[in-house]
Amino acid sequence: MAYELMSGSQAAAVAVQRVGVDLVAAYPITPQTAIVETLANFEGRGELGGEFVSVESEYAALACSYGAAAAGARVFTATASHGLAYMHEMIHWCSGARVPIVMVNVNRTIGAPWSLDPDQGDSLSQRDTGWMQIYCSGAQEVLDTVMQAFLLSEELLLPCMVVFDGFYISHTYEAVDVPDLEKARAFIGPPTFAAQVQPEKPANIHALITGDMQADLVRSRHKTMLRAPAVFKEINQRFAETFGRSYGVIDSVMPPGTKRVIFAAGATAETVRWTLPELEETGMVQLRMFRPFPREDICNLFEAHDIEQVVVVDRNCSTGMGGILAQELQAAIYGMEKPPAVKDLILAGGIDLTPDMLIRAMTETASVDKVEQKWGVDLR
Amino acid sequence: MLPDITTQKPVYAYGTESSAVNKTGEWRFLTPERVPGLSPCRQGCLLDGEVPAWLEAVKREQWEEAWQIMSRNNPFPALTGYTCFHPCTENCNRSELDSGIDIPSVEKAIGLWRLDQYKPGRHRDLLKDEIAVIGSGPAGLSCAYYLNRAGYRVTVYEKSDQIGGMLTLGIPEYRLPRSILNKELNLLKEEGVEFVTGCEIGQDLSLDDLYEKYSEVFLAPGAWKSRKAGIPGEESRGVWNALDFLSEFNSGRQPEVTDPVIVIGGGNAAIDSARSALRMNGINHVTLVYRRSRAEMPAYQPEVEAAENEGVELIFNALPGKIETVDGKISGAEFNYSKTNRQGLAVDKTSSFHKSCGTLIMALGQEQDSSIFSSLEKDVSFYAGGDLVTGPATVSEAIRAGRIAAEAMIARLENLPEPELCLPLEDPVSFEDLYLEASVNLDIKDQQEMPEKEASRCLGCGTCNSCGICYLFCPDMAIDIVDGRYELNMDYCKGCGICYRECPSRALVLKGGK
Repeated sequence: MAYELMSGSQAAAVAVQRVGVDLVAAYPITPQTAIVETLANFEGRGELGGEFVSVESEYAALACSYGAAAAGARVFTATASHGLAYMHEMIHWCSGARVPIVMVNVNRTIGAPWSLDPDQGDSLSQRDTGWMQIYCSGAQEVLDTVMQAFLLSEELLLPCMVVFDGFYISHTYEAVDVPDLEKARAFIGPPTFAAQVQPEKPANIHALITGDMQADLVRSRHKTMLRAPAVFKEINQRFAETFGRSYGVIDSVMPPGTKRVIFAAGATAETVRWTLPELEETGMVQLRMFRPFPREDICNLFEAHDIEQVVVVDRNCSTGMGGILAQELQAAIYGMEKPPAVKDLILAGGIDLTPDMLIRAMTETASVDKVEQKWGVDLR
Repeated sequence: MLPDITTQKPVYAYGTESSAVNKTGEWRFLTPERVPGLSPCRQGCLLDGEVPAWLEAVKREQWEEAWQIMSRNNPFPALTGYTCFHPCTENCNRSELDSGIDIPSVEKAIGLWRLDQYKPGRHRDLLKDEIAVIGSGPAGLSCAYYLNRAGYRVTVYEKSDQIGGMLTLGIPEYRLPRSILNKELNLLKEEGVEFVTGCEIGQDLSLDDLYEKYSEVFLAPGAWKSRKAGIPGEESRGVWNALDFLSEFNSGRQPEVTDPVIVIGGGNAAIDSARSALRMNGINHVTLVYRRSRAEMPAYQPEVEAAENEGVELIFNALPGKIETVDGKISGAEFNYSKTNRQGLAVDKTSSFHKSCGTLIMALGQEQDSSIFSSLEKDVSFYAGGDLVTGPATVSEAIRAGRIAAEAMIARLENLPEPELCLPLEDPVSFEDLYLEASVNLDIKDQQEMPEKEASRCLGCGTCNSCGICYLFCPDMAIDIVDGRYELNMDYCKGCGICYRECPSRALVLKGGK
């Protein structure tokens, strides 16, 4: 094991260099800039293995990535917040086009008003675009997940977003075990997907089709994505055997006697883990794979432990509805014989969740109400 | 087809047919169309010429095409290039930008190109009826050209011993080079037009005779009767009428002329006479006297200026009252002052001045001579054109008359619908109508020597001049380039109207429907 001190952003860039990509087309934006800078440095030193292209916008970044992927290239890009919003049209296009792309999104509030603080609303508001999404809670996890994401994406021919909180993870430093380059390259292997654009076999692709044909393709896409948890577990199995670290589509800590579960994604999951010993009858679930939503894994876990209540930590708010993770969870557990009550702790806008606030939140949401919304801003 | 791992059905839209099968033109509810607007040059043209169209062909160096367009209305661009007064140039919109198009120079270039194509040997099979043309001036020649082109056997009867009418006998060499005129006349002969010279209809042959022999007759003898001043001494030696003088001069014979020379008159014949006389050996001083003011002169002003620059003395508002002679030969004349008034012309007989001269040339205008009709006994309707019909006019108008007559005759003989006489000549495209922001041919500011370059300066003014702006702007690639011309492709045009908005020449309209 070779440990290096690095930030979450640097870890993402190192992962890309370990994998060996053909193209990075990217545009800088706080808090992702270090990713782009680190990759540019790799390319400058001849260590990237592929080309780095400085594009004029995030839309162009994804458009270039799409074009290269359609030509059979392994590609990576990264963005955040406004940048992600800017490429929204292309995000839809890439999943419909069934090209493998790995993109890191560093969570940051989208204005107005202008803000830099982390809010998961940027990536969550892209949840309907047909991309897989995996949320990470630390730098090591970021490095490992980015590597795995390439295999996942190329296997399913669906693009994958790897997400982590701005500043909490992108700008704080951890000791990260960096895989050996050759070992990593051997593990990942060369791209396994065919180019869509083949000059010797001219074709027109993604051209105008009828609704009937479109319906078939949508169903095909949906069914394919539903295979993601199973495929991920296979990849993770091999990853664990090679590098000694293992992850699930959800990770959980369920002390004996757990009746309540705190459900979180991203950096707050770490806070929850730390605070757990202070809480009674409480376990935690870290949601890693958000798309597809791992309904089966979650329902099985809740049933196995007869969970009565879930407190969802939402670093986001879908205005008019509430926290998005809570909403997704409610939909996932609908149909259970004894679905737990869902309490939504909304930290939208970048409120920092301290262990103290979390304990108070657990106290204040202990009622028997089936559904409850609590605002983090009231807990300070 | 890339298989989906789960279902073996295609996972994205993939096809090997060209997307051109999707005829997006079906979606149209507005349609752009090339509808020519009236170019101001066309409005002025005495020949109904499609000026911007042949300019555009020259721009693309398609000389054959330019000739085809030109000869629809004008078979003698080499001649008109020299002799026409070109009202087209006065109207040219480009002159409001930098300098107007030098239309005459391009017209001449087309004419000279045509003459260069000439290869000896009869070109045509003439299998249709025989037609007679009276007069070998521009009207007669034009009529003969168009009939011959349609396959008719034409015989042109000419009173004088030379053919060409005013072109040969009236217009001097310095205005129309003889070599070019002769080439043009020879070409007509080569193409099968027969000429009979020295034959005056009404004297040597009657109109009745002609109607006997020919299916149709075109009367274009011109207006050669010189008007008289009606003053005593007009018949003296040394007094010429302009037409006789010019005929002699232009035939290469030296008319008897003595210095100094006075020319009476204000029209083109007067100026031609003055400038011709000045070119003769022994003639040092020529004066032109006109009874009205300079502004009222019917002569083409650039010609008047040229005469002045060559040293012709110009006297206005005066006319001769009396001719003085010595031994029956003119020695001078007495002039009175005159000026235009409401009744016409006021002559002040109280004041006068004297001028000596060795020769006096009367250029008082020509009149039609209707005596030709006296030899017609039959009751027929006939075709006539040129100066006989209009009175003294221009070469260009005569050429037009000949063409219209030929077209009408052909329609009658072949039972075709009567040809349309001319375009409606209203509402020309003005300079303000043009959309020059998008224009691409504004770089060259001055008139160019090379006809292709000069032609490229034309703005089109209602006609497409192949600038390519529509092609540049069309978002659907629905414009094809065919031989340097831009064709709208209605299979794919979605009717967005951008070409219509951007066309600098305003050559397109946007119509409702498909």
